Amino acid sequence: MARISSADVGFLLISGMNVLSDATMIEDEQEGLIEDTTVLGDSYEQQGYVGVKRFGISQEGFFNDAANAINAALVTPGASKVLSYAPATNTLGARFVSSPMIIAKYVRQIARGALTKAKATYQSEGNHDEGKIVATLAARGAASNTQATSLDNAAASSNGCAATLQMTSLSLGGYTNIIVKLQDSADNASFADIITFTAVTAAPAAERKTLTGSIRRYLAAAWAYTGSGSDPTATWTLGVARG
Amino acid sequence: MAKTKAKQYRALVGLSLPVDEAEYQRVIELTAAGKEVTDRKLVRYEPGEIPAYIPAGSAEWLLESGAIEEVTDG
Repeated sequence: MARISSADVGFLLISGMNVLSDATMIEDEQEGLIEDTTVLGDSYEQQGYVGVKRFGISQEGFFNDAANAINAALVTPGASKVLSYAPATNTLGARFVSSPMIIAKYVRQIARGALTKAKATYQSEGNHDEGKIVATLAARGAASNTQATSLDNAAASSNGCAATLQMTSLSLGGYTNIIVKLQDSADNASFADIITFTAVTAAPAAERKTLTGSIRRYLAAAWAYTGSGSDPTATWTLGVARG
Repeated sequence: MAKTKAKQYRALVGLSLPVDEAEYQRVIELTAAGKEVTDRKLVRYEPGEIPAYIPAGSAEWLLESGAIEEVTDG
């Protein structure tokens, strides 16, 4: 896929709340901070990169005050959120853009003869992750894994990774919690746990974790429930950005 | 001639391993052919457990990555 459009956006998740159905625009902005370095004798203005980058996201959409909808996701300016979105479909290996963000501004716009709008701007709390979807946003049942559809990176990598779990709904069916893990493999046959996310007891929930060192060629997700119960279901996605 | 004892390994992280050599070979062949590997026969091991079977081809990278350690007698 080369050119993509608004129809390709797979999800927009703010700490486990999927607000895609209310969103009309997402804009992410990467900026290298520069400083004017013009000195006496220069005949043209000079600029120098100061070695610091900034990542921000703004979004626009329709106001919706239903549970876990856009108002609930945005109504706390200053709050730290994990934002992830899939600009090019919700499919295995598709782009997964993610970042821990602070909601800098939330605007509710009411105008005569128009639906009420909700807009927000975020600033990243550090770097942002340009990753890939290892597990699509989908409902999953009893303990299992995604090894049948492992993500093949074609080669191992050596600079760690950042992994983000976004869980939009959870029905434990009596179990105590669900634990999701990221696994890697060099041969696509045996898989080892490399990241274990914090046990989730309620959705919406999200977590970003990082790992240093080597990450092998294949990636998969595995999940299990703690305790006893029946017919649990959880809707979640897992994205990974290799360093 | 005394039979050589197979090496044993202890899981240091959670592992999902093919149940036996035949399953390992099936997965390797399908992977090499670029096909999806469905209906996997896997065994889950938690840290501290000693897997009944670890493919020789996997043991190498699992050792290197610190996911398993060799169990030595005595």
